[in-house]
Amino acid sequence: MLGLYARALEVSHIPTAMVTLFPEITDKVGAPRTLHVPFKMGRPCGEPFDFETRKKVVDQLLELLTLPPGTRAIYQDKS
Amino acid sequence: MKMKTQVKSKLSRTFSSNFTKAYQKFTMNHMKENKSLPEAFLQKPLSQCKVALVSTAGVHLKSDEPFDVDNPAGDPSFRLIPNDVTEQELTVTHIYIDTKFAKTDPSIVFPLQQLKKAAADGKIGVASNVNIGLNGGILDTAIAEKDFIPKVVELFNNEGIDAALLVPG
Repeated sequence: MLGLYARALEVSHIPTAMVTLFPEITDKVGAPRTLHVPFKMGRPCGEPFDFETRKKVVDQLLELLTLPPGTRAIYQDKS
Repeated sequence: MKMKTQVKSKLSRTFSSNFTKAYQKFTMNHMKENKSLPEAFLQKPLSQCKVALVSTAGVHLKSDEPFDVDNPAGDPSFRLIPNDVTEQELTVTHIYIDTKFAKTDPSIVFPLQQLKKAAADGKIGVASNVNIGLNGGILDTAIAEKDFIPKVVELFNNEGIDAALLVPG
């Protein structure tokens, strides 16, 4: 359902960047920009209280907003 | 939450965590494929943008009505989350993910504090005061597509939101 939100927002000229745990699924639904993360369901931005990882996820999502629709980024565990 | 829902939640979470491939296949089979991509671009530098968060992890204010997880069709409604909320004011209602992690630290599904930090650091203009909590795991998305998605899009347009970060459950 989240991919449908992404698509509707983009149709309305609002760019989106979306975390994905399952790229096959988000590719099929056609989410415009995705960041594939190596985390578990229920913890899409990393483990509780791991704020360093959280910051990296948000920073990489923000960077993804500046890239063209169709970009399939992969989470980088670098600072 | 009804006993029946609790059992359904436990079975579903056991299935998805132990048979992740099969879970993916099940989800894939219930989804229609979109071949074309809508294309939107930032209209101003990121450092001037108002950015909103959208989550399908069932995030909502403790003071709001929880999502109706007893409805077998799912609850396609949304909850508004302002940007001045504290982590202690948030909770998570979802039956297809183990919510105990997000309840101890909501930022793992809803990184609002990190988005606000990005604004304080000048990476974005401002964290939106309108953010959206949704309850994912809905297979039949017809009601969401007809009613709720257009409402959120209108809300975002009215708020002058420039971009959105989307986080699943």
